[in-house]
Amino acid sequence: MINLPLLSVNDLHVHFYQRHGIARVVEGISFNVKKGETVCLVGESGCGKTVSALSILGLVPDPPGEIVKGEILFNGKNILSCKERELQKIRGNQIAMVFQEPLTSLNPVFTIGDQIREPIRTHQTLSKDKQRQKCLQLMKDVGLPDPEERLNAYPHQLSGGQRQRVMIAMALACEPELIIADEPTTALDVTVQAQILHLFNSFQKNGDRSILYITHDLGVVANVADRIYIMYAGNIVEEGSTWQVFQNPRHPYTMGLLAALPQRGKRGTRLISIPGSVPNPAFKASGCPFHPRCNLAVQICQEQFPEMCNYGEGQMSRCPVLFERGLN
Amino acid sequence: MELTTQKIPQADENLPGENRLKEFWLIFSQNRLAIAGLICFIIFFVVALTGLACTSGQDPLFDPAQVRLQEKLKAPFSMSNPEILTEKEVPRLGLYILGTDDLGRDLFARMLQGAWVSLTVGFVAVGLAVIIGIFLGGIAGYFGNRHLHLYQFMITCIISSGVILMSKENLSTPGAALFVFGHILILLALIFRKQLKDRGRFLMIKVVSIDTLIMRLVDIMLCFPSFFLILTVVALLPASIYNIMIIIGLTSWMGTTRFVRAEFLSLREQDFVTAAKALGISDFRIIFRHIMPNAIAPVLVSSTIGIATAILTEAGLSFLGFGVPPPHATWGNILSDGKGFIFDAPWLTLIPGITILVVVLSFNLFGEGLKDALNPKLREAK
Amino acid sequence: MLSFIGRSIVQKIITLFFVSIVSFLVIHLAPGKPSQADPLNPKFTPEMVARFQKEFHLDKPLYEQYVLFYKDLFLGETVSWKDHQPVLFKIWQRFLNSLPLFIVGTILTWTISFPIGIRAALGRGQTFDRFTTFFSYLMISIPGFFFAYILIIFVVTCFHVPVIGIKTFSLGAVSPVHLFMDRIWHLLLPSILGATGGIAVLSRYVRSQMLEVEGEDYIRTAWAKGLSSEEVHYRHALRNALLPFVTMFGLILPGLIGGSVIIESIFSWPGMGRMAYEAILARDYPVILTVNFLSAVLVLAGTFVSDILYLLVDPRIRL
Repeated sequence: MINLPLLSVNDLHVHFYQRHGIARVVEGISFNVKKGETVCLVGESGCGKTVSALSILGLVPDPPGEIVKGEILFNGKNILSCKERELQKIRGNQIAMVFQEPLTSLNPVFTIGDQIREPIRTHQTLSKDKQRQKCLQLMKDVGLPDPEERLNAYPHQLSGGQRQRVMIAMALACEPELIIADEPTTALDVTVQAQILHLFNSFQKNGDRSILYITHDLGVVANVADRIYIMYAGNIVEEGSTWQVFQNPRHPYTMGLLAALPQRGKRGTRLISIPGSVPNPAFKASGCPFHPRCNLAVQICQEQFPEMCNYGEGQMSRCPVLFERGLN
Repeated sequence: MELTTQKIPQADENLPGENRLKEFWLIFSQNRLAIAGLICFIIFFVVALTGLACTSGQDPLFDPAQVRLQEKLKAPFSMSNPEILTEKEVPRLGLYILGTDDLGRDLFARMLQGAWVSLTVGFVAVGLAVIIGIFLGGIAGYFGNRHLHLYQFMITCIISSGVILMSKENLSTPGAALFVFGHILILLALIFRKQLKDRGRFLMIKVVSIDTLIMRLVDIMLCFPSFFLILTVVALLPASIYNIMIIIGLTSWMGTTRFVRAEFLSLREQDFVTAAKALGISDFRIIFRHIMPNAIAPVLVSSTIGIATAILTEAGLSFLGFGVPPPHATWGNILSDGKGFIFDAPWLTLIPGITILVVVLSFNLFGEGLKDALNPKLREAK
Repeated sequence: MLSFIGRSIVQKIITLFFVSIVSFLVIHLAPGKPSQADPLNPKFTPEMVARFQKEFHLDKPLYEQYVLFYKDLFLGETVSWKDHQPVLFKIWQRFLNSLPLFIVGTILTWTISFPIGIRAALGRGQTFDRFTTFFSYLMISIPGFFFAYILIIFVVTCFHVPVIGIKTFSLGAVSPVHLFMDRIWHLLLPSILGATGGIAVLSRYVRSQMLEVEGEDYIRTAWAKGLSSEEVHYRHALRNALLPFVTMFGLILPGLIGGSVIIESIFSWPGMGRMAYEAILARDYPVILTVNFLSAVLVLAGTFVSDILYLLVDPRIRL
């Protein structure tokens, strides 16, 4: 039996139409999430990872953005071709999303209880009483203190960490098969971060569920990921298991990211950084998008867009230069 | 395999100032209606200036004041009848481009003259309102949480009562005395500033914050329905074009004040202001060089719309008989004069009415276009 | 919450005090003594100035004038110069006339603006939106009386029915139903006219509020939860977008006196706006000043009501 991936994104292209041209924010990415797996989509700000995540749920804002090509298979079905109503049945129910900004992601005029109850009310048939019970249970699960009181509280009465827990409770409400978490802990303190990661972990173990993490924090990645996909300027430049990527990075960008981590024990030396900055998606260089910043770049990098090179055992990278070196 | 060194692409290489203007224009030019508004505005401006040139002076190109009772209420494009007119009564081009009014005056000439007057009324009134608004709004926003101390308050009361009393004939001597006394107190307060701080605890009590003071003033002014207030004041004062401009200006500064205050309040808290202060830059410079350029945006928008409103207000006042007195022609004048002849000479109302409509519309569109282009949040996505 | 209300009331009273002073000082724009009357200013003959002096007690000290002025006002003793009727009584009568116009106009404005604004926002850039935007701009830019005249001419020539006045002049003895219908008909055109301007402005505002809210993060969360379009737009978005309008509701109150001077003049409607206008024409200062003061009172009352409504509706303020 072939283990069909739960989620399969194939050759996704998303364009944003702006005044000065077309921004090719996502240019042909493909990745899979298997059942029970934790996958991390890693990259700096502006590489297109959030847009990729939004595309899965069909939440890319349609006037400026458009999904121009590709398919997204969830349980084998292409959800890009689904009508709005069908998508609504999947959102919050089978695929749920946790966003980055807890401070603005909750509606200020409704109580917490109301908002947590909404996905339950929409997707499940439970009596009002049972709904309330479930809300309380969820709030306990995510570690919110005094759930009884908090049920009637308003978002502005909660701290950032607590609001993020509410978001997670809302996401977990209907026991989705896949949770997409877009930098869920970036806006929070480090201690809260640890607790939230733990939350996700226990949730996953309890039901063999999958999580797609979007993050730029390699520390988090090392902690939770089974598989990693490194993104740069709208493309996947390397993929592999956590061990593979951290031990044997096969792309100059990945190497740069890992080298840039401040390491313990090496005090007093200069921090290493990748020169230059992330390109504007509307004005990308030709050939390999990373070549202007790459210290291994050669003539062909400027001319030809590199294909994925397979290193075997699931590790792939988009740098033919390194691949050839490896072969020799 | 050679290693090539690639030039690292930089972010936009223009200077920030340049870039903003270019970006603004890029966005603004996409809004066709706003461009149409801008074009109309420019046309209006040009027409007003040429109108002024053509209709003023001793022997103007197009005479708006020439009365020809024998040729009254003629339709547009009608030829003049040279036999019944004297030499100087003959219109310049031999025909009445837009017809004549009930006194035989050339409507085209009057419209040209009126363009300039309406423009002036609009600009002066709004200019006044904007100046007051920026001044008060800036102070309220920037120095808002500084308070007036008791002694300052008392001195202000003394001086103002002095001024009021001075205007009443029988009380002018005590008034003048108070006035001078107040100023002496100011001098004393400045000289003995330190002692005041140490010993004069009572006099240093905070009475009211500057922000509250100015906002209460705004509230008071907002209590009066503006059109009504303008009407009342115009009724009391002698009728003149300058009075009208000043009055409209003095009753419409409240909106600008609020905008400017809001912008200053939010900008004041931003890091760049803190950084500037830390560098020792004076308050004055911070306000004018750093904060003001950012706060200008809503002011510009409300000014354009304000000019449109001023033109409409002037028309309304003319309709009610309180507008600019003759012989000045304003579009409002012409429109309201024509209302008595709606069935006989509809062009007397239609022409100025439609012209006002088009000009005001273009101002509004231009203003809205400005607002969209200057406000990143509300931009229309393609 | 009570402290908020208390503070609000105190602030309003203080403002009212200052407003009363300003209203009072408006008289002093007029020349002070008969001898000071400018012979070229036709508005102030020496007799008129002398009358001013007497009625407004201008020979007495300033603060006494102030007290006397307001005492007269509140006791209803201020008397109109034109027809010697007590001012408050006159105002009340005209108010009753203006009231139906005001009510119908307000109802029309508020019930039509919201659907238009919301629909325009939800279908941004499409035909409905463009259409209504165009009309709104037109309505905002057209001089009020110009539009009124065009409308009147159109109605009169097409339907051949009278539109001026509060009822048809020479109706004679007809059934009450007929009378009622006649009243309604006369009410229609001025109300519609008054409402169009309001609809133009309000619907634009509704639209922009709705658009702003739709772009917020919590709306994205609502979509992500799988809620239906109706729920997202009409439950989540609308509830937030309507917040500022609840407060605007309180500000309708001042419109009672504003009336519309222009509309009432055109339609010869014997309402408050027209009374104020006639008073200005006739230099009937007691009436003018009383109306000014009363409208200020209404504005303050209106803002107070807005404050309370805001308190009730926005949970962020309440707690």
